[in-house]
Amino acid sequence: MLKIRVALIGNPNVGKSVIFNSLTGLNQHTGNWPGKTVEKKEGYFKHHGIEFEVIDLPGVYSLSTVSEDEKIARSYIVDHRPDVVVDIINASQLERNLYLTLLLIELQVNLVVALNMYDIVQSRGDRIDVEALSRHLGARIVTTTATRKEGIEELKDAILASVPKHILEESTNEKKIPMHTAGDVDGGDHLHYHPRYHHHGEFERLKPPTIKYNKEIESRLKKLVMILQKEKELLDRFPPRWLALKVLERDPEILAHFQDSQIKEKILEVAL
Amino acid sequence: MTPPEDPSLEMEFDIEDEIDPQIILANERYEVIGRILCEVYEPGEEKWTLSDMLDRVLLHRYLGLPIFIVTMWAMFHFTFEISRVFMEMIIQFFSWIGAYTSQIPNPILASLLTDGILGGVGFILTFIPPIFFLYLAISILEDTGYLSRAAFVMDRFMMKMGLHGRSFIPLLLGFGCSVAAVMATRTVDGKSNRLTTVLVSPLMSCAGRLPIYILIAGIFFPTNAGSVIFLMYMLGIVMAIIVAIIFKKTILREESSSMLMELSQYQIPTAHGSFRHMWDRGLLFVRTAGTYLLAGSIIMWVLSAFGPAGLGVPIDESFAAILGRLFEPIFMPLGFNWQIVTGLIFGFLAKEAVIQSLAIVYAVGGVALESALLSTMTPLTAIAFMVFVLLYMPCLATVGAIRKETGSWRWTWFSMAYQLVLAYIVSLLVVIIGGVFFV
Amino acid sequence: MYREELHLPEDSKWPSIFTLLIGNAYLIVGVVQVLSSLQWITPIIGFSDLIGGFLLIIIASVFLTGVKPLLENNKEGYAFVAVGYILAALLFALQILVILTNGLGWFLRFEDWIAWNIGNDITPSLWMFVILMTGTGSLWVIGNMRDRIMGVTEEGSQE
Repeated sequence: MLKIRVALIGNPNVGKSVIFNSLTGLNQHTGNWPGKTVEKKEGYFKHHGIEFEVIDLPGVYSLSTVSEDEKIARSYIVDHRPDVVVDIINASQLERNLYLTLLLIELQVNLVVALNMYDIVQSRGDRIDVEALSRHLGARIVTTTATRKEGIEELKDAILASVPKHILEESTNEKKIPMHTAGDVDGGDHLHYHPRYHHHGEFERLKPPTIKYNKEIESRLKKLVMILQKEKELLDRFPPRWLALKVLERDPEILAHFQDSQIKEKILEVAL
Repeated sequence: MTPPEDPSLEMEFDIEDEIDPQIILANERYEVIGRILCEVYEPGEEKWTLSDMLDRVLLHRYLGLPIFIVTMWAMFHFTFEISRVFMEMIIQFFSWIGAYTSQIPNPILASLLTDGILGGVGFILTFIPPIFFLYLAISILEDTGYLSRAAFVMDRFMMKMGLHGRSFIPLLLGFGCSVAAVMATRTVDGKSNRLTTVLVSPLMSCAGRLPIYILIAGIFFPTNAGSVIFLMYMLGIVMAIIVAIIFKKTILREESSSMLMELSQYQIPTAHGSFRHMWDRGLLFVRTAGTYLLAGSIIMWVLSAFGPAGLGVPIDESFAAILGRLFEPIFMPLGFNWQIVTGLIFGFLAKEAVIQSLAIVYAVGGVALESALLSTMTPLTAIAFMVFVLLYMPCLATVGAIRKETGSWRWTWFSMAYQLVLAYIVSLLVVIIGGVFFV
Repeated sequence: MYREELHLPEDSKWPSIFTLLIGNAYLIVGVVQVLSSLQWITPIIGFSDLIGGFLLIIIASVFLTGVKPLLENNKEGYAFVAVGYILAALLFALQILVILTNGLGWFLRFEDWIAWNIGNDITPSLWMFVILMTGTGSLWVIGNMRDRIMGVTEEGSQE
């Protein structure tokens, strides 16, 4: 039976390790990310008969390619495509924490948001419309106070509910799902693609982006996605919308993938 | 990060283009967040909490530093004073065992166990109480949330050294044990900051050097021993600052790192949590340092008990002595004779081992260590010796930790080399300047 | 506990006077300890630690910094008082531990502890804290008694 892969991510000092410990208890071990000196924590838990493998990504404020921690977090999500990503947020510092959330939405992952340190919010008399926030982000939101072990069971429920059905079926029934080919535009904004390292082996259906940016940016993104339609190798590895965003941002790591000078010229023409 | 492959496109790719789109997108993201929050978030009234009040005082412009000093003093006092009884208990325990092992019929085994292993490792294990108490104190400070305020207060001060406030915890731990300090540099962000902290922390006089200071200062400066030792600690700090500044200006340019310093929430530390932290860290230290020290003790025993003529040779015919005599010429200007050099060589295995090896080496004619030292060193040499001990190569366990933390042999060799050179130069300066003023 | 709103006394007159007194007390004792340890005045037993003296002076300055805000009825003053208490308690607890472990060493008749005399370890940081808490305790009791008396008067006048 395949384990559902869950990645924990969030800003530093939001209580991520407390939540990790609450989820995995003693079933965890610490190592190092291959070739790096950054600590890597892995663990697992069982919920309603399903086994979940949890990976604690380093605490980061964003997913650029500046620091080791960010590089590790980003490459894990892009290359290993965890089934669910849990973004742990310090509910008393929403503005700063939501930046990372937006980046995760750009990566079109299956997102669960944990509003941690919720007790602070309550004691300060702040009010958060969790339902409305959930609607905006397009993700399930759970309020937690990890230090008091509140909200952990609800978090497990939310994680389970966020796993795409076909993966759930595959992990429980071991039934084979028919393959889809890359570039199979399903109408709308999302594309099927074959993630190379996806541990379930078959395919991943991307979530349509729930957050869109202003007209200028969106139109440029559309142009870029059109230009990149034929780039099968790249689309195999990266979600198309995210790829376009990175190109627009002139992300050095992504730009380095473009060998062909013709394509490169075309995409660099599209600028902000 | 690979540069663009096609050179003809490099022209269109200048710095402005790289930064602007990132900022534009970042701004857009914050706009979106702002809109969402407008709809979703309603702040409560500003309440005056104990947490805010504490920060007013602890981060106070003038009171912040004195309060920090009080806390630090309390921490060190707690560590060293309280652990004394427990250290004594361990010493008694080992000498009690030693009484038995020395009676084992096989002389090689008896010696190996009593002098080598028990003597070496046992001596090191006596330092476990202070190390664990130190970790306990730090865990408690960390869990209450005070440590981040302290880092903030120190940050103002440390910026001038080109270091960040976060470096101060590892440097502080360096007073206990360099291994612990190096392991703690994981919390420092910014590769060059971390590296600088790693390279500089062995200069903070660790607990292993204390027995040496106590011995030497006690013999040569009986009335001022305390002040002399305090001076050594100060010298260590000053050298650490100077070296850090030099590194920052030359080989380890500061990189842009996050300018945010998180102030964690205040909490009452749980006994469970703090003891857990103490235990984790303490155990890690024991395992890392312990393995190296065990190996080191055995090596030291072999080198000192054996000589070209076999086992049980008088000490000045042992391999250890041969090594010492080999390097003696280099240290002539400093006034160190071969016995001292041998002691220093063993100091590489563990700083604590210097005294033991000196005792063994001088035990040739049954002469007590004190008189032997008095007759072969002048007070000036004694100071030069202490300075050398303060600054030269980190001990074996620390080297292991440095290798592990930096992941590179290059920097490990560098740390050993630069410290050796630094120690030699400064000791030489001490001898020269001292010679001018006092002789 | 740290994030709840605090219920502080409305009138800061008594607290400010008390803080002034205790702040000065720590200051005087601290200075005496510094002088005694340097042997600029005849040494007093228990007053032999130079650094300890400076620490008392630092605690004193924390308390004294809080006097001014308190006089102006500024709630911020209580922050200084709180930190003063915490630091004083810290040094007190530490000294108790020192006495306990030294006592243990003496009891076990270890070499370094044969000549131990408890008098040396009864430092000002120890008994000043006792005075501090006694003073605080009495103020609190008096305050409660006063409230009760006032309460009775109120009830009496309502009848």
